[in-house]
Amino acid sequence: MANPSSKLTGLLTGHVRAEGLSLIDWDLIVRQARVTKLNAALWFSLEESGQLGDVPDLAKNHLMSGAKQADRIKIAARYELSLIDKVVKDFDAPVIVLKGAAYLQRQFNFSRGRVFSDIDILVPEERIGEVEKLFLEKGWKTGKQDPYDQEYYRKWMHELPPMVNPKTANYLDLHHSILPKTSTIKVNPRKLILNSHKLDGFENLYTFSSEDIVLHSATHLFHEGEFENGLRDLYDIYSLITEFNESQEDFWRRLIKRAEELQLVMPLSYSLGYCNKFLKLELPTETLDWLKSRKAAHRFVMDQLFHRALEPDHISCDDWLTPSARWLLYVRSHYLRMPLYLLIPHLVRKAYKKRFDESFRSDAN
Amino acid sequence: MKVSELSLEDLHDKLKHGGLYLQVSPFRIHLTSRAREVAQNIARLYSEYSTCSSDFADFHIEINPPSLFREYYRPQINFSFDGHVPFKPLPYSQSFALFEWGLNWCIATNAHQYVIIHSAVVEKNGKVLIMPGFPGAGKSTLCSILVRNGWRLFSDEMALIRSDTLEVVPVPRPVSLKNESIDLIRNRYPDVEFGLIAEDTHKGRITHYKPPTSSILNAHIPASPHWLVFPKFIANAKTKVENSSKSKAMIAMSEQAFNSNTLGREGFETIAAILDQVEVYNFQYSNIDEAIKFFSQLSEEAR
Repeated sequence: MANPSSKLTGLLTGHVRAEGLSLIDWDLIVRQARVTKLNAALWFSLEESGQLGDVPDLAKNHLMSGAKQADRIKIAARYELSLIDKVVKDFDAPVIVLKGAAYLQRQFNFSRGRVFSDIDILVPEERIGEVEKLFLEKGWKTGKQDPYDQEYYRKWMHELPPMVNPKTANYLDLHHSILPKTSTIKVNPRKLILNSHKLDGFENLYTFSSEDIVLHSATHLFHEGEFENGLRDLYDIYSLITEFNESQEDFWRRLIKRAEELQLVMPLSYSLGYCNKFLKLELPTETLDWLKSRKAAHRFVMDQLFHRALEPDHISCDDWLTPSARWLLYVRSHYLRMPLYLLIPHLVRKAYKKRFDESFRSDAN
Repeated sequence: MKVSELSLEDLHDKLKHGGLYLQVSPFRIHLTSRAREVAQNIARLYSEYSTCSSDFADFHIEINPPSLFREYYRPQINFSFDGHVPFKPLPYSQSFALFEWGLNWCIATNAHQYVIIHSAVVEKNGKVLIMPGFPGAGKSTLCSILVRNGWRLFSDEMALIRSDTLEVVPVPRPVSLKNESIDLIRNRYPDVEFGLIAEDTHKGRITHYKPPTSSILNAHIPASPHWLVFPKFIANAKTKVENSSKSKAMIAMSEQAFNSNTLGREGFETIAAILDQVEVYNFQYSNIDEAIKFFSQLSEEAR
């Protein structure tokens, strides 16, 4: 299969050099990077390898714009985390920072160019009501007012309806697990919490262990069906593994062992396979053997789907099957998420409501 | 090649198939559209602009109906930026205005190499006048009048400021006028070339007119800000000029900066440095001739 974003991914991983690329190449690289939220990542990666001088000014402007946006997000996120820490500092269970904000606070190299909009935190399920109350008392507001949405989140999801801090307009997602309650794969969040450790500089903010951070990122990408930033999310996993491998002994073995323990082998094997394919992540022989020994169901079909969905959502990467591939993966994520007797009424309602909202809006115009 | 060298048919054909690469300094635009109205307005208002190489574009823009159905039944038009549609569709008659608004949006949300301030900008003798765009300021009207009285058009919509040199970079484009201003300018300057008029937009009745050729040809020459004027149009009011405090101006400028939030400290420091070097006035007016006189005096005094 063709790999239309190979120049972008090659620049990110160092397999392609900036020198010698044509303006036509840069036009495509900038567009693909922008649509998949990797333009800041590309800027910092080229800066680090001393290649910014080889980027034509026309293209450089766009990457620099991305980097400036990322810098701003980092300042806002650090401030928001300090506010969140104040709210939960006396709470007697760990509050775990997830995803983008955690990457930033752990000072991973790739987090310099990682953009995100919400802060995600996780607390034990039986305590989530208390934590929500703490935030509501300090002025946070709950975002979704619709009673159905409220009930849907609370009954079936792994997070509460998003809350917003009205003073900073930053959103906060409060989780009690990394997958919905109804999901076909069950993860015991207690195991993740047990292995977490404290984040430097905060009273009561924690982070997952290295293995669990990778597994969470993998689960999120291959289980949740949100592929708009699929390549960016894959790059997260690639970067996490690369950085942990450089700084930790025996990381591969621990990662695989942990995936088996938590029954997250499916998302990990997909992640490793596609990190290898798209980003040329080098896998040790042992890991390759493990990957081959895994008999993935419907491998050919799944490969056709993921291959398309992980490319940037950009016209240059689409073929005639891409829209259907994205749609099928969306359906798959829902199917993995909840049993059909729950899913069908939910999707029908969602579709109906969307229709209704649209006709309501166009009447109002 | 200049746009005027293309016949309307060729231009429309290009816009439909593959798109037109247009140098709108300092940006390169790639515009695709099958809307005839867009072709007509481009032919009329962008005739003095040059086409550019198709190897790179800052913004890939498409102006087309959301579906074939909506091309004929209660026709609508969509703006898409590189395949993604950020706004709801508008009535088909606003196709060209949607292109102009959409391009403003592309610049304001992507060109963070500049501090971008919502304002009308003109230049005379190498000195730039910035007029921030508060509602009721009449910035586009004033800008139009100044451009007819020896000032060079930088933009009727935004000041692009380089934070390293503190210079303003011109981005001359068709000037947008609405409601009574259209007739005011048309009556005063009958030779101004207007585009098609879009009725009933969210801003009322709007149209664009063709910017002066000399402004387009000199679009590559930046200049430093010298005056910051906050105009206020009040019907039948007497002309009044007063010095404005720089601290108030600082707040006003930050409010009008499209990307002050994104740029943070860089934006703040750039605006502060600009304020150190400009004269700041509040200017209340209703009489156009007195307004022209005020601005000519300003530029004479600064020579």
